Amino acid sequence: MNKFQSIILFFLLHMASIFAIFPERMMAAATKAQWMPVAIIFLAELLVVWLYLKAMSKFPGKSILDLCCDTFGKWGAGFMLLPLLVFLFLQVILLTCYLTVEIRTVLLPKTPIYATSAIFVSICMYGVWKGLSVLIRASMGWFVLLMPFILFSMLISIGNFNFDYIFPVWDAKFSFIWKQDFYVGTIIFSGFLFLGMTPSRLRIGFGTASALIGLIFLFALTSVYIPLLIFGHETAVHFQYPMLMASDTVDLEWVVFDWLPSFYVVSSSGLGLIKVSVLLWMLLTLLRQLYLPKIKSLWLLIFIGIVLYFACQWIPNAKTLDKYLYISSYLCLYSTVGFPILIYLSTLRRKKEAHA
Amino acid sequence: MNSLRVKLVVLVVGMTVLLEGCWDTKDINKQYLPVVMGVGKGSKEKYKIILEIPNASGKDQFLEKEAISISKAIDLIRTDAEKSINMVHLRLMLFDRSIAQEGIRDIIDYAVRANDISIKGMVAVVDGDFDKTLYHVISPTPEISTYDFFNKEAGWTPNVSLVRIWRLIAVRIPTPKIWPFLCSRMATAPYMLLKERLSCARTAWSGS
Repeated sequence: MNKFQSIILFFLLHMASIFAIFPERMMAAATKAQWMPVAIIFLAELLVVWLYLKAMSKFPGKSILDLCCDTFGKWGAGFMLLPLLVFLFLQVILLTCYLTVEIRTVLLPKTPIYATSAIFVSICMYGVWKGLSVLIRASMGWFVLLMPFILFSMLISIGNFNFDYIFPVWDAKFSFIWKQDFYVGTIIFSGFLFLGMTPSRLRIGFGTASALIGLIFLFALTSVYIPLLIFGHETAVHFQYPMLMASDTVDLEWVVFDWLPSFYVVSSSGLGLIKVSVLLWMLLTLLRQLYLPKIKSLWLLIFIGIVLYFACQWIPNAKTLDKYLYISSYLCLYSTVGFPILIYLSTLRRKKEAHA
Repeated sequence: MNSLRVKLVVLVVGMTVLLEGCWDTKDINKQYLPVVMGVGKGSKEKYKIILEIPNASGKDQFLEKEAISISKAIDLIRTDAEKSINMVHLRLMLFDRSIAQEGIRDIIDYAVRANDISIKGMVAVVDGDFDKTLYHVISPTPEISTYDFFNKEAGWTPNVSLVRIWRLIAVRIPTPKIWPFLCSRMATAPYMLLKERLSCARTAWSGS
């Protein structure tokens, strides 16, 4: 267990969003100059992570939960963290649903969704049961296993690029600000929240975090621009899985594997597994410490797993999924932008009290 | 020790459930994997679909049906065939000239929407006798000669231009323009940029 593993987990959690929901939302949000929403999202993340880590570093050895409880009291903390909990729960459901549908459409068209999601949910539950340290260690393995495929499937399609599609490169009206899809893209932020809940010896500094965010920004930019440069915005915006379609355009005789999209699906669902498990772990920990300290965590986990499983069956199609993604984007804004700012302000106040 | 044994038994039993191959398995020798699909005008129905299937013995197999839509025709072929038909290896779609002139936008949309058809497949228009071209087989070649015509590695001619399905959706050509666009080098004004890339793609050779 060292900081390096936290770094990898931080990176992989962001990659999970890049491979699942982020690129198509960015494309839907901006009709031109798609790099601008991406850049704005990542600048915002940089700011928020700075505040979050700053607040954490003032009180080493305490998690965000302790910080909240100390400042606002137990009830205040319960009230403040409720939207975060709802967000985590919605996020877990939507991500599981999204990934099982993706696996179904691409790899197993005849397998019913209840079978795929049963395996998916049970693997996630196993990960949560084993705890964060095991998840972090597993993410190392995931990293070694998946990164070559991810890089390969991203870079190999360069041959099909039509660089004319990059224009226009500037959107003077910032029209994407008014699109809801832009705010759905903020789910990529949920990758840093776990930093507030790890033991302090595993926390990474702001310098490392900013370097990581820079690297992830590059990946996010490529994930948006690969489908754009291949298909053009008008066509790419209609795809449900634009990156998948982009990897399907590659036709090389020397590639042993005939069908590259399967790589994409395997890596995206692998990353999704890690993300769902980590978010589920956060949800479980918060829920137990705040509201239900007497219940055994295993029973709570089983209960949440069953709810998650049935919620996945209940979402009938992509349109409903979209609707809930829009709803969760409000909660997402609160829990990934508002919440860290609140934490930071509360630490400022406590510092003043300590001085006085 | 005892609990370990119980765990092992649970694991093995669990694996028999998970690893048996789910719902989708079908042995490869129970499947037809067409490489070429020909879309021609039917004598009674709207489309005539011809599927060309490579065979290990070197002789290509042809399956043909007429129907009102492509998926209907494929379903009809499926009903008649003794094996299941899987389109994942479809690499070439050939259109009769008369079909292409009417517009192939719907067909291209179908090819993109269908889960099993890869969008890296190639598209070409057959000018001349459609059936003769489709059923034309050069016997010494172990592979499919129609597909080899477009294969970069086959070493036939470097002058054949390749048009892929994804390129057709990427440019979004209005329906009536598709045939002149494919078959002449005259591009309409908005598509001048792509004029050179999407040039003529047709198989002007027939069996005679």
